[in-house]
This record gives sequence, structure tokens and C-alpha cells, in this order.
Amino acid sequence: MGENLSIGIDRPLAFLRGGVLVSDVARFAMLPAASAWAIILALPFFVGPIDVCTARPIGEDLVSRYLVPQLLWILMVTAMMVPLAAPQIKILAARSPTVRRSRSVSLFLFGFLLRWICVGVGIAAAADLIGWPQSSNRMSVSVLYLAAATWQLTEFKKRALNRCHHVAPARALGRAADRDAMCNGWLHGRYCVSSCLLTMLPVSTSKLGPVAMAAVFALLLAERADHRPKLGLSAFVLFLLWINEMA
Amino acid sequence: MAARIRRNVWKLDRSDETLAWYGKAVAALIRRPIEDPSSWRYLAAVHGTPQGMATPASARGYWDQCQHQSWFFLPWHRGYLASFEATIAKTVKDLGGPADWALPFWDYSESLSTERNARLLPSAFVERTLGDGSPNPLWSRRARAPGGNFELDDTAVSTGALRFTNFTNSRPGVPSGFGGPETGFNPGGGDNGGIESVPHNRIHVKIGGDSGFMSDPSTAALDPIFWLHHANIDRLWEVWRNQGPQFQDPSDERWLTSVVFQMHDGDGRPITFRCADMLDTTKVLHGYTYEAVPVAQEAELESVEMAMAGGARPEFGGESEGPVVLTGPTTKADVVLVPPSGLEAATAEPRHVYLNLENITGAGIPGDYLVYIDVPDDDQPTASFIGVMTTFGLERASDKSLSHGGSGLSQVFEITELASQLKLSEANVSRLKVTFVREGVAKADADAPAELADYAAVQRKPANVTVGKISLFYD
Repeated sequence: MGENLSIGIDRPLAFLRGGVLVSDVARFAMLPAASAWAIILALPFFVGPIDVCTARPIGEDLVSRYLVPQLLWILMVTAMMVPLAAPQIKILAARSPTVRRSRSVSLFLFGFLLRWICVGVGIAAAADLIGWPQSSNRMSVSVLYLAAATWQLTEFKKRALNRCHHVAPARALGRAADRDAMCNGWLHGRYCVSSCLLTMLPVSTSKLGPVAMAAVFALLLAERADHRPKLGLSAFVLFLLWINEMA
Repeated sequence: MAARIRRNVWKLDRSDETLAWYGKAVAALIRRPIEDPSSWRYLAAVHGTPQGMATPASARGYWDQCQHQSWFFLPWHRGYLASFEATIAKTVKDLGGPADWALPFWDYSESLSTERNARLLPSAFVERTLGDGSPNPLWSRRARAPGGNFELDDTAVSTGALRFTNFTNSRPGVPSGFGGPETGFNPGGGDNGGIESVPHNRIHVKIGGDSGFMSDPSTAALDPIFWLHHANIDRLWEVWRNQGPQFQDPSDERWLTSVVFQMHDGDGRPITFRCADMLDTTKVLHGYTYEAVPVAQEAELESVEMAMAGGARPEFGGESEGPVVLTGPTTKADVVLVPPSGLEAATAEPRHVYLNLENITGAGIPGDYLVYIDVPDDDQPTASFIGVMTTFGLERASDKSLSHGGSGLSQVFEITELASQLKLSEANVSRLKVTFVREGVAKADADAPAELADYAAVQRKPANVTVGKISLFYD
């Protein structure tokens, strides 16, 4: 099968088509995301019980307080966010010379993840100041779920989601290509953060761990894949997750 | 009931009343409130609504549904035309007209030797008033064109798209076939299929001019000629399919059944349809056929042989040094060429060469651009025409708040023959000059039918166009 690619609305579900295993999407988006998922699921078996879905400190020393949480955060956004950028990755790869394809996509991913890393650092810094919401604290968990569900129903969410379908032009040769790839990744990261961050936050306090991650990932993937995203349904699923948290 | 027969508007007898009844029905529909699914404004809103027009809750999922730059372009518009035709036909019947009224088509591509008026707007649409001095319901806000002559040249009415043997194509860097690129539900943005680009887009902007209804997808269906234009595009789909067994619609379930569209029938009842329901015109809603769907004129049609999905990936061959802002009547841009470097370049001579115009964004109604290429260091520069960059739907495709994210339009031209003449794939040719010549748009009438005056009052943004990148691909 050939690759499904169009400049307009190129829906991520297209990468479920045959032949995808050899496509750029598989190499550049699915492989890193699948690896991140594998590590997240395997980590508790190697290091014992660990809250893998947060950017929160796991200890008082510098490494436990800052470095490990950020690494976990990067794992989480790689697992959940990189697949959502599949259409942009496909187009960038397709429009790059063969010899530069990996380089351009890597720079795009670097810019994209850098945006999320900055957000993770920001969340950690803010939470350091005001205190981390605890999963045992029903009030803080409920507030985050309520905010996420409400966000799904706003016009702002719809607009932010629409922007996630933007594909910026990128040059393919020389330093300009490197700059464009990274800047486009950074820009797409901004659109992605705007649309998804509030939906991601409840995951960071969830006691459901990877189950909550998987559920929210499915929501985010579905809303990207559908021209008429059922954001009300997303809000309802978040409500069900909240019920589970409270149970 | 037998299928309705859609006839060529320029072949109607003088005594034929098809257009007279059409006018009466339009006048009736235009008086209905916009909330009524059988009203003129509701039907137009199904195609698109001007920015700022609120969609009532009852119309969600019905308005702003037009499919452009997509492989759904033809089937969606087929369903749309059938819905419209059913509404008009019912109104005609209710007004005492014939029970078998069918929408005529305007075949502006017909040879002038067989129909010298083919490129003129049918006369019933030209005058503002009827013989009795009353407003002509078929008149609309259009480019000023004395006698209905919109100066439709060969580049506007070309049916070259019929030579595509593939309906769609999703490989990067190559044209999207006859019908358009594979997409999900797509209200615009990306590259046009061959038939959508020319004649569809060209006719829209030629008729609409700088501010007429036809120039903008959000108002186009307010003009009664829109429907005859689209009936012709729909007819050309039948012509394309009738050329031979190699001209096949997609058999992919994602095209046939995965997307459901919704509209209303002639009685105002909601209906749904999929592409699979649009393949046999005699079974589309009330059913219809076209009068004399001609086969291709050429005995042996030279088809545009397209690399189908599953072929090798086209290889990048060059790009412009940045975005190209189209200012003034002529804009020139250089494309830096690189030798094909990938595995795909194993053959010495590329089978196909494509020039891509990516991320065409802008505002207003700039009109179309004639595109030429040349090698700048050639001793005797003689720019060669490669095609028309159409801009119908530009503003909508550039709107970041819409569901395509504002990536703009794109366009692909096959330049294989010229590339061979210019020796583009040889190492000593380092640059290609691309010239955009603005065709300009005719000034449109300032006023509109009285009932639609509020649409005409919308201020248009000044026209501007930027081509995000020009690139070259070898296949």
C-alpha cells in the first residue's frame, strides 16, 4: 500500500492502514511512542512501585526531586503526544530528500518534545511553589478532572484542536531545513500543548496510572482523527474516569 | 417515475420552459426563512456560510459541509445537487409546473464550432430584470460581463483533467488524480483533484470576479448559475468514467462507506448518504441521467499515466529559497535544483517530474495565476506555460480556526516534458525560474438581489497570496 498523505486534514487514523510498518510514521512516530509505552509499563517491575505518569518529585535528593520526574514526564509525552503528530511527521518526511529525512524528523521531534519538556519544568516549578496535588486529595483530583472536562466543551478547545491540523511549510536543504524542522516542531508543540495539556493534567494525579494514560490517549487520538470530534463524549469519558478515581 | 434527464442549457429549445420554471422556483425559495431546509439561503449554507454567520443548533451537521480538495468532492456535490434538484422540482410542481423538472447543465467546455455560445453565460441569467420589469431571480452578484461574456479562455474551460486514469492519489509530490486526494471529511485545504482545479475552480472565480458570490465557497451556492456549473462538473465525472475500463472510481471502503453525509430531500426530510450511494445516477435520490454524455473526442486518448499508490516514493529535486509572496502582476522565484539522491533516483531519466506549490495561503479574492517555468541561465529565455494556480477557497483554506488548521491550498503540475527539454535533471542546471502572472479578477457588481443584500454587505479583505514553498519532485 502507498502512504496516505495530504496537506489538508490528514487524520492520524490513516496510519492504521496496511504497509505502515515500513512507513515514516512507523519509524519516527510509532516506534518512539511504543518504546515509551513499553518502558512505562515495564518500569514498576524493575524499580518497584512508582508513579510513572507524573512530573512530581519522588524523593528529596536532587535527582529524585527534579531529574527523574522530568524523565518520567518525557516518557509520558513521548508515549501520548508523538503519535498525535504523525501527520506532520509524515509530511515532513515525505517532503525531505532521502538523505535528510531522519535528520529533519529528528529535529522536528526535538522541537516538539522541547516544548513539552518546558511545560513539564513549568508544572514542576509551579507545583513546587504551591504544592503537588495528591491523588489521595479528592478535592484537587476533582478540580483537575472538572477543568479537563469543561475544557473539552469550550470553543477554545475546538479552535486549539483545529490548529493541531496545521502543517507549516519547511525547507528541505541546508541549515534552513534544520531550522524549519525544529521551529515547526516547536510550533506544533505549542498547538498540541494548547489543545491537550488540560486533558493531560488529571493523569498526573491519577491513581489509575497507565490505565488513565491509555484512556486519555485514546480520547486525544480520537478527537484528532475525527473532523467532527465528539468533545462532549470526551468530557463524559473524563467524568467516568473521575468516578473511577473516586471509587 | 423515470429518471430525470439533465439537459445542456444551450441546447434547450426556445420554447423550453426549464429555466423559466427554475426562476420561479428560485424566487419562491428565496422568500422562505433561512431556518427552512428548503429555503434558498439554507441550501446555500449547506455549502458554506460567511464568516460570522451563526449556525442554528438545528442546522449543525447540515451547514458548512462542502467537500473540497478531497476525494469526496465529486460524490458530496452529487448528493448536494440531487438534494437541491429535488427541492426545486417539488417547488416547480407545487407552482403548477412539470413533474419531471430537471436541472440543466452548462457545458462551457463544448467546442465553439458546435456551440458558438458555449462559453457565454446562458442568457436567462444575464439580465437584472425580466421582460415585465420584475427582478430576474436568475440574476446574481457576478463579475461584470456584458452579454454574459466572462472571457472564458481555453485555460478556464479545459477538460484536460479527463486524461487522468486515476481517481485519487495520495503519494506526496504528485497530482491527486481526477477526483482529489485521499482525505477524511474535508471542508477545504490541500491540493485539488484535476477536475476541481480546472474547470471547476477557474469557472467559480471567472464568474464571481473580485466580490461576486461565486468566488467564495461560503456564498457560491447563492448564485443560481452555481448549480448549472456543478451539474456540468457532475456530468464530467460520468464522461470520465465512460472513457474506458481503466477509469475507475476508488474501491476503497474508506471512500465508499466510511463517511456519512447528511442533507434534506425535496420534502425537507433529513437524508444521509455515502459515496457508494452516489455511483449510479439513476439511483441517486429521485434518479437522473445526462443528455448525451459524450465519449472522449480523441480516438486514442493519451492518458496522464500516474504512479499509483504502491509505487516508489517520489524523490525531492529542489525548492525555493523561502516563501514567495505574490505581489504585482508578475512575480518570479528561483527554485534551487539538486540531483535526485535517493534510491528512487536509480534510473538515469526520471519518468515524471512534478512542480509543487505548497502551503498557498492568503486572503480576499486574488484571482488565478498563470505559472511559467524557465531556466534562468539559458541563453534564450523562453518561459513555458505549465498551468494555472487556482485560488478558489484560498481564504477559507488559510483560516487557522477551521478544522484543517489553515495550512492553505497546494497545487501540483506535471512538467515532465518541459523538464526533459530544459534538462533539469542534469547536474549543470542548478536553478529553475518560476514565474507567476496574475490573471486578475474582474470587478463584480456592487449590488445583489434584494433578498440577499446582507451577504453582499460583507467587506472583503484585501487580496494577498503567499506560496509557502515551491518544490520539485522526481518520480
